[in-house]
Amino acid sequence: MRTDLETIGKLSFRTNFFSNGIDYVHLVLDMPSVSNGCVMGGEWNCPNPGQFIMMDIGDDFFLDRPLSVLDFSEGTMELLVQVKGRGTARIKELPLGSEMRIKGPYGKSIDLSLIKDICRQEGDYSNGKNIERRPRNQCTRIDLIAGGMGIVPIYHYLRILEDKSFFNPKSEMGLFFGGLSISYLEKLSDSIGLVDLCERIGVKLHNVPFDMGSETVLDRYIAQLDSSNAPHEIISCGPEPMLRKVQDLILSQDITGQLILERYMACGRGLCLACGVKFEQNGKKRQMLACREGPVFSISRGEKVLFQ
Amino acid sequence: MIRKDGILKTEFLGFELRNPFLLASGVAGYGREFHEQVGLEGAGGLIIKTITKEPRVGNPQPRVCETPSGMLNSIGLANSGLEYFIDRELSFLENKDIFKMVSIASDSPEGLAEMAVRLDGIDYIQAIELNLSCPNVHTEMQFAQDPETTYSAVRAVKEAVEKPVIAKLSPNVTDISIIAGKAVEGGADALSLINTLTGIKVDPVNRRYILGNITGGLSGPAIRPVGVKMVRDIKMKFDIPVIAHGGICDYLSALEYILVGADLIALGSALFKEPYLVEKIVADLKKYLINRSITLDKIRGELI
Repeated sequence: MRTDLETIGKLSFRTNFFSNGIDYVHLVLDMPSVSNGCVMGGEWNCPNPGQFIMMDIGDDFFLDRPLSVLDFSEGTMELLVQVKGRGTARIKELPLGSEMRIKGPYGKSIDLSLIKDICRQEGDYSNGKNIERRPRNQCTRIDLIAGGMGIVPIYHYLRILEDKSFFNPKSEMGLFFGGLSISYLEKLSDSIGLVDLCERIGVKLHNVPFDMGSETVLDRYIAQLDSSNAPHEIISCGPEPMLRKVQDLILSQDITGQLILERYMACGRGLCLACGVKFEQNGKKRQMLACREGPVFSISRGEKVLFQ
Repeated sequence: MIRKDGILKTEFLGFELRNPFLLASGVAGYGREFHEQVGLEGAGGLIIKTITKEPRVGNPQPRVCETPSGMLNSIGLANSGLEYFIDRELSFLENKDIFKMVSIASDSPEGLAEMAVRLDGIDYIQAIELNLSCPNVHTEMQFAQDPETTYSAVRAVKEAVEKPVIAKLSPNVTDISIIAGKAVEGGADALSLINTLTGIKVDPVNRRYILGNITGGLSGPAIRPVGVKMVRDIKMKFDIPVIAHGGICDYLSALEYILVGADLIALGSALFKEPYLVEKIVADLKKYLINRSITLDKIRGELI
């Protein structure tokens, strides 16, 4: 019998912020049992971008809550949670020092193998010594599109880039971040240090507030596209109507993409079957589970999510 | 003196189970998934999630939500179909030392019988559970809401197979003992109850229903008093083995059912949060029995 399904995270830091009538919580959990690094296939694997954990939020709650991981390093895990219901309201009130039972990490992560191929312009590689430079036509250009809380796995992805000494002096890689208002985007960015992170690794951050007019983050993204900066791949997370349009763009440009979806789920490990995602693969429709075969779904010609 | 080892061993339909606890249909997949994560050494039995003849994708999203002391689900019998199960999943179960039942559903007695015949020849499946009561499938008749359809479904399968047949009953009826009587008359070897209670959760902030299917099936401790009453009703009237389902989340709640006569205890949605629940209940129940120098057989049905 395995007994390594769960570990303990101790809440060491919590900040709340409020924007557009909604509460948000940034949590930092110390996980001493994994402080010496994570053993693949061992006691508790390190969460990778796009993966999630299931957190027991107390005896008054019948189900664990699935939460996307914002960051994980050296035995510390960070989460960013939007208060939507009774469970997330409980998370907002968790006292410091609370010892949380955490299962996971679960799900498929963003494909990190492409990082070594990401385009960087020739120039000053002050902290990118180990990275092989390639001519532009042999490198991969990746753009990131996040809507609202969809920033969470995208942020984690950027942190992995930073850990891998990624640096892009001419900011060829763009992050398009859409949200309800300027104040929302600023408060959220401040809470997790998004602006600094983007500057440290040379990713150009485009904030697109939705209340400034009818322009959505995807409109903005498409408006700046031209033949000189066409991406090979788009990684995106956000509300499903946005993801549907991102997928349309990916398919119409005949490029590849990775979409990160959200689902209600009861177990997180393939048993409850709540988190089905309809998917089409080479003309064949099938159901995939967001918890095991997602929540990151690879999109390309012949492979797409069938949105409801 | 009470023997400490094997104190929970339970006889059921001529089989000996190491303990009376089953993994209910729909919480352990085809067995393989649960085996990989937790192991199948703990529970006495396993009910394979409901299989239909053809694959089903299930209901629209969202399909689950938490409710006070429980949860609603409207999975809609998502499964890969009978032939997939037989071809791809069945062989895994062959050498597993656990009492195995397969749950099946169909829209006609003949359909159920046809599926049951396919499973009847597999010697490492010990019994067939007829899911006569899934609340989440609009297009299919719910046998267990009508005495006569319950009778014809059970009868059709019993006439077609040799394996024991267990009828899973719905609590969404006026008097479950009338339905149970018809299942007994049809030849059911045991009854399984209760399935989930139908319910709806509304999101009042956004003024909409939470579940994509609008209605779902309620499970968890919230429904335990309903289950305990219905198990008691049936054990008072019929001499038939009963598998109790409904809100069991610790050894005390298991004892509630045992005291009103339940033969086996199925653990369901509580396993989502507590994957090692069987091991915990087994340890706690052993302690309870040993401390009092009593056996399960002594207290089973004590209150009826």
